[in-house]
Amino acid sequence: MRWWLLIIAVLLLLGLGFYVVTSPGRLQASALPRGTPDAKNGEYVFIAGGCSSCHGAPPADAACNDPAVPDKHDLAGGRCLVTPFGTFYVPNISPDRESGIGGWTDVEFVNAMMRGVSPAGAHYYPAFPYTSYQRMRVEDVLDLKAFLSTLPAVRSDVPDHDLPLPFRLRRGLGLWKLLYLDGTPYTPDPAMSPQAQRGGYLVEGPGHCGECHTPRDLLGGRIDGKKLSGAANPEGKGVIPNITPHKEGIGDWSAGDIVEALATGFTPDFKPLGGTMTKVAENTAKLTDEDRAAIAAYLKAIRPLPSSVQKPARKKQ
Amino acid sequence: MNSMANIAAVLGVVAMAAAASAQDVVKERQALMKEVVAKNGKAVSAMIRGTEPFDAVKIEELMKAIGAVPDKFVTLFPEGTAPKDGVKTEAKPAIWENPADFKAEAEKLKETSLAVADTAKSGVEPTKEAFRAFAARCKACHEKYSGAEF
Repeated sequence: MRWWLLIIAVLLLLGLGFYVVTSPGRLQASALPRGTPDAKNGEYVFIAGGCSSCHGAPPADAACNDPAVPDKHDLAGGRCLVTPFGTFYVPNISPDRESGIGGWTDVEFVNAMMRGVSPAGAHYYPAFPYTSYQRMRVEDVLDLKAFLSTLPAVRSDVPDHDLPLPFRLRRGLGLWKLLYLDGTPYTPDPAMSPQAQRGGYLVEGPGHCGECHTPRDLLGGRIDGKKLSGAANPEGKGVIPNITPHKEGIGDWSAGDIVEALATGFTPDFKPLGGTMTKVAENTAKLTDEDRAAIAAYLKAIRPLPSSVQKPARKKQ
Repeated sequence: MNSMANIAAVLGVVAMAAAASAQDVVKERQALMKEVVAKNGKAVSAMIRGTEPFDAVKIEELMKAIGAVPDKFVTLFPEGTAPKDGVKTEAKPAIWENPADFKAEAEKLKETSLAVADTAKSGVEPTKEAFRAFAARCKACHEKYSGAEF
């Protein structure tokens, strides 16, 4: 007879369960390393992370998905990422106190970058690649914050994300994170050389290469077993290439070829890497030679995998 | 009536000839890019990377040929060969809006390619560095002035 009370109780319990399970995991301020952050290293992290490619303000009057970034230090946001899950608008990360991240504490910044949690305790959408940044050294993240705070404060009004109904429930990301955010730092492969291990840190951490180059499952999480073997372009057409040392990937490139590609934006055949990668290369061009060589060593050392997404026959020249 | 038809016919032929010659200009400037800059760039790139034997004399020759392109190239953008003129071209309207900057970009291409030509005799490493500076010019100019997926 009081079956309806039972149903309400179950629903409440489920709701409470959902709330608890999806509560954001955060680092505590006491867990942060002591010491003075190094803004110079922070600038290098900023380059390795390619932050300006997303957070840089688009040209005036250009479409929000225009890849050009006129001023890499103008981080007013406003760029858009059009994905199968909806359209995401990139936020302002300049030191502006109202529309940017001015006034954020160290632990708030670390939790945003490495746990995908806002200062107010809301989940960020993984369009912000915190699943990669979780692998970074906290010191590097703090150095980055120190550098960001030296940049000009720019006020801007960035639209809210434009997402279909089911994806508008931010809290639901708590469930997604249970699957895809393990909170572990980068674990170098002991079988790799120290150089390749360094490359692995750059690729899996700040470089967040896998966010484009690793295929994703239906929930939009990266399939780690198919690491860097290529993926469908999240922004629509074309294919993101396989960069494993397989013949379907870049197996026929030497480590030197990879270094040159990262330095110039050109393939060994003197063709531009193309699309977004040409923009990425603008940043990798500013890394040290050692770090480019480290990335190349890593990409030559990872498991060769066949391409996850077949692309139309590539003209081999 | 006859003279009107005559005038129309003459104008028609002149328009077609102009269109044909505009398209020829487009073809010529594309050929300079594809047959000289891209082709020679690729050959030099292979020598620097080591897939082909490093031949300083050849590199100098190929890069000097690229260096000769910009001066000719900038003359191949007369009025009537822009996208708005109905011509099939990858050239962006910005070329006609910012002619001074366009010429400056061409000048940088000339400088950097001749710099590679000069450096070739000093060996692989310095040539590699000079070549990177040259390669950076491609995107810098194309980003503003060309839609070509070079």
